[in-house]
Amino acid sequence: MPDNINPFIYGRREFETDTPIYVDDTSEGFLGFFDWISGQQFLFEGIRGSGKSSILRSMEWDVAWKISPIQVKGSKAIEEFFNKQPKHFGIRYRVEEMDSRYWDWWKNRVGKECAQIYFGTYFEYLLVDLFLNALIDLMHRYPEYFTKPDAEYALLDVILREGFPDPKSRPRLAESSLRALRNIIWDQHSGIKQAVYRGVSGVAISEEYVPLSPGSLVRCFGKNLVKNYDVFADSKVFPMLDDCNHLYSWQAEVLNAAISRAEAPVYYKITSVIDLYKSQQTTDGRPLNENELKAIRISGEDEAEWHYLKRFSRVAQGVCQTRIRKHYSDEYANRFDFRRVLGKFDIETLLEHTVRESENPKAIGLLTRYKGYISANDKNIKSLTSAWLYENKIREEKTPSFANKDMQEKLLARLDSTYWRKWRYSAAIAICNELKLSFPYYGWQTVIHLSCGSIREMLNIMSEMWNVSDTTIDNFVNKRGIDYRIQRKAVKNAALNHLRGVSKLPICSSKTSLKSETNIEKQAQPEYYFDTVCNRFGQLFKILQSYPSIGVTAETASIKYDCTKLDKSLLDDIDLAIMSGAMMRKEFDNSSLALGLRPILAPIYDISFRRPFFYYETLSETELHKLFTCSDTEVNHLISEIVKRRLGRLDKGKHKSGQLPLLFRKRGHK
Amino acid sequence: MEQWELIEEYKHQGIELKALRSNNAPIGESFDLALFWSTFESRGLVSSNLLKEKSCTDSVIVFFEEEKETPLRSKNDKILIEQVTRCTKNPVTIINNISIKDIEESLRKIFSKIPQSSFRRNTNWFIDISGASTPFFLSTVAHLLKAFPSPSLVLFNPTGSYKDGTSYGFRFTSGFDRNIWIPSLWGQQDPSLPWTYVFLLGFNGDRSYEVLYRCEPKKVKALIGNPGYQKSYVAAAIKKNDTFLRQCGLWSDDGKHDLIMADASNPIDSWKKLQEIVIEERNRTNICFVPLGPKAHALGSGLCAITDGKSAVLYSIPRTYIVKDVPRGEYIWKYEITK
Repeated sequence: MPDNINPFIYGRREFETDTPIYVDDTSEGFLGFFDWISGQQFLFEGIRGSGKSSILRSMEWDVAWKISPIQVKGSKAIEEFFNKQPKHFGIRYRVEEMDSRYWDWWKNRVGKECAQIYFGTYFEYLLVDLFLNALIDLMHRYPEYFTKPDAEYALLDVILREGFPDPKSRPRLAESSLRALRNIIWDQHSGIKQAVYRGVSGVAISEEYVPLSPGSLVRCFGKNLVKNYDVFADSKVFPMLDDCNHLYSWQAEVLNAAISRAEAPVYYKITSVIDLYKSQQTTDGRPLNENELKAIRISGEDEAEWHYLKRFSRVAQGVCQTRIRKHYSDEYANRFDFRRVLGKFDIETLLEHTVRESENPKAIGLLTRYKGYISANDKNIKSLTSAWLYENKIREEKTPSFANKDMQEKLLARLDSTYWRKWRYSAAIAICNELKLSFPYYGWQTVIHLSCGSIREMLNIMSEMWNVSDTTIDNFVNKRGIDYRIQRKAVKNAALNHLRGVSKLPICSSKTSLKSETNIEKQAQPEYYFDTVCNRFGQLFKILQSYPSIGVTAETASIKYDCTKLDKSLLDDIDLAIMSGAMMRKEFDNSSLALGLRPILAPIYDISFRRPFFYYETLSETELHKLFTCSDTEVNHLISEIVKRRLGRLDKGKHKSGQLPLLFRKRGHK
Repeated sequence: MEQWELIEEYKHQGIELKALRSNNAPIGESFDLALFWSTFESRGLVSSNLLKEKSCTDSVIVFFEEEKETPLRSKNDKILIEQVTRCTKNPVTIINNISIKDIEESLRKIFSKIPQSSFRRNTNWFIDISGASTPFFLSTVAHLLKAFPSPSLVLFNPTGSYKDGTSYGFRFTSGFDRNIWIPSLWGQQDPSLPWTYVFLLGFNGDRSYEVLYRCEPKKVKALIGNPGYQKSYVAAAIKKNDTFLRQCGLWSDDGKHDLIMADASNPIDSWKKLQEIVIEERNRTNICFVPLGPKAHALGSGLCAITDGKSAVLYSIPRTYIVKDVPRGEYIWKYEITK
C-alpha cells in the first residue's frame, strides 16, 4: 500500500461526507456526546465547518444501526456505546434555503396565520415520513427484532387517526402496512409543498389538507413506536433539523412551538449558524426557556482560551487519528500525536530564528542590540520583543505609577502570564511587519487558533502540512515539531485555499445603495468579490497591528459598527461573509456588532491569528460600506483616515485599552 | 444554408424533440402564438425577421423592467416591435414592467395577459429563447407540456458570437441574488435521500461556485458544452469554472477532469446524457439540474426533468445581467417539441 497518500483529504465530494466522525465525550462544561444524546433538546450553534451537521449525523438511525458507512469514533466509552443495541432513533433533515423562500412568498399571499398552520402541517408529515422510511428499512434488515404480529398495524392505526381525525376523510390504505402508510404521508407533504409552489389560496389548501398542530404527529409516532416495538422500548426519538438558519422567523416560531410541546420520548435537536436562528419564540408569542431548548455554541467563542485550546486539541487529535486509521492502520494512528507533531508555539525562539535568517540589516541590528541588553544584564529586557517594545516606547513609564515602591512591585506581580504573552505576541507581529518578515505561524496552538473551532479548517491545514512536508506516513507520525519553515508555508497555503474558496462570492451591495440611484449608474459601478473585501480588511488590520498604531491597542483585529444604520444589501453581504466562512461577527448588544476576518486568513496578511474580538476599531456605517463597495483608491484613502484618527487618540492619550501599563524599572535601578 | 437541416430527433416518454439547424433559413410555419422577450443582444432580433409575414395569429412581447433605459434596449425594443408586428395578424400584446427577478409573479402576469385563444388542446406556439432568461422559457415550456394534451412548440435559439469570450473577465451576469426552483420544475423529492446536483456549466464560474457553496449537495456532476459554439469556448468554460471544479473534486492539478460533454447547441445530446444520470441515481439520490450555460443545455435539463417527473431544476438569479450586445453566430437552431 502506498505510504504517501494524504490522509487528511478525500477529494471527491461524495466521499468527503462519508468519513468517520470523531466525537468528544468529555463534558467539562461544554457538553459532550453523552449529553447530546440525552433527553435534552438542543440548538447547536457554530460557524461553518465547526461540526454541527456531524453532531446530528452521529445520532442518526443508520449510523446507530451500522447501516451507514459512517462510523463514530471517540473514547472507549463512545465505541462501547456504538457496539451496543441502539437506544436512540434519530432522523435528520436539512432545511433548504430555496424551500423557505417559496414558503415565505406563499406567506405573503395567504397571510402569516395560514402559512404557519400549513408549514407546521407539512413539517409534521415530512418528519414522520423520514421516521417511517427509517423504520421500514430496519424492519427489512433486522426482521428478528420486529416479530410482534400486531405492532405494525397498531402504529399505523394511531398515526392515521392522529393525521386524519375525521374517519370520513381518512384515506384507505392499499394494504395494512407502514409502507402503504408512508405513501399516504408522502402524498400529504409533497402535495402541500406543490400547492405552496403553485401559490394556491388559503381556502383551496384548507379544503384539501387537514391542519395538524405543531409536533402532534411526531409525538404520536414517538410514543407509539416505543410502546409497540420492544426493540425501541427505552429509546429516545430524535427529530433533527440541520441548518435552521434558513428558516424565516415565522417558520422558526412553528418549529419552536413543536419543540415546546415535545414530550418523552421525543427530543428535538437542531443546528444553526451562530446568531442566525431567527427566533426563539413560539407561535403563542412566548420565548422558549433553556429547559425546552438549550443553545450550545460548539465553536467556543466565549470559552477561556486555555480551556478552548485543551478541548479542541483533543478533538483535533481524535479527528486526525481517525483519518489516518481510515487510510493507513491503527498502528500509525496510535503513533500520531497532534501536539508532538506540530510542536509548541514559542514566539521568542521563533522570532529570533526568523529575524536571524532574514539577513535584513534592520533585523540584524535589532538582534544585536537585544544581545547587548542581555549582556548588560538589563532587567527590563528579557526577550527580543521586550527589547523592541522598550526601544519604541510602546510601553514605558518614565515615572512609576505608584510612588510606593511596594505597591508597584505588587502590581507587577499581579500581571498574569496571559497579559505578558499577549504583548510579546503583539510585538512580534509588529516587528515582522516593520521588518517585512513573514510571521512564524507554528505549533499546535497556532493551528487550533487558526482553525477557530472549525474541524474542516483544521483538516485543511493538516492537509497542507502533509503536502508541504512531502514525506511518508511513517516519518510524518514520528515528527517532533515539523520544521517551522514548512509549517509557515503550509499555513499560508491553507489560508490561500480558504481565500480562493470565497474569492468568487460576489458582493451584492452597490456603492450607491446608500442613496437612490438609477439602474444605469448602479451597473456602471465596479463590482467586487469577497476576496477583495477580505484583502481590504487584512490590509487595515495589518496597519493597526503595526507600529505606531499598536500603541493605541494591541491586536486590533475587528471593526465595530452600528448594524441598525446599515442598508439591507450590506447586511446581506455581511451575513453571506459569515455564512461562507470569510468573516466572524460578535454581538455586543442589539445594535453594536464587531466584524473581523476568520483567523485562517491571518497568514495571508501576517496579522494576529487569534480570535479577532479582543480589540476593535469603531467605524461609521459609511466607512464600513466603503470598505465593501468602493474602489481601491478610495479604500486606501479611507484606511489612511482611520489610522490618522486612531493615532490622534494615541497622541492625546485618550486610548482606553483597559490595559495596565507595562512598567519598567529605570536603567540602573535594582 | 437556406434550408433547415434535421440534425437529430429523439422521443422519450411521449415527448418528441427535433433539433434543426440552418445558416439563415426562413421560418415557414404558422403559429397560434409567438412569444418574444426584450433583449440587449442583436441575436434576439433574428427570429422575428425570419418569420413569414402574418404567420402568427397572436404575438406577445415581454419587456423586462430592468435596464430598460439602456441604449441597447431602447434600440432593440423598437426593432423588435416593428418586426413582430410585421409577422403577426392581430395587434401585438405588449407586456411591460415585468421583473426579471420576481419570476413567480412575473410568470403569472405574463400568462394572465396572453390571449386566451392561444390556450387550446393542441396549442401551437413559437418561443424565441434567445432573449429569455432561462427560468422564463423553461417554466413556460414545462407548463405548456404539463397543462395541454398535445401542444406543439417551436423554440428558436441562435448561437452567439462572443467578443473576447475566452477572456477571464467575460461574463453575462454579476452578483448573486438568490437560488430558486424554476416554476413547474420543482420536482418531487424523497426527503430521505441526499442530493445530486448536476451543473450545466457556462462562462460564469462564480455562479457555479455560489450554488455549490450555498447548497452543499452530497454528490456533484458537471456537464460542459463540447462542441461549443466555437472551439475555443470549451477550454474557456473549464478555466472559468476552475474554483468550482476543484472544490467538488472534478478537476485536479494533473489536468484530469471528470466532466460530461454535450453539444452546446443540440438539446437532445444533453437530454440523453442527463437521462443517463437520472437512471444511474434512481432511488439513490434526488437530482437537481443547475443550468448555468447554453440555453440548449437548459432545455435538455428541463425536458429531462419533465419526463422524469422527480428531478428539479434550480436557477441561480444573479444580481444584475450585464448589458452587452451579442450578435448571432454561424448557425441558428430550431427545436420542435411535440407531445
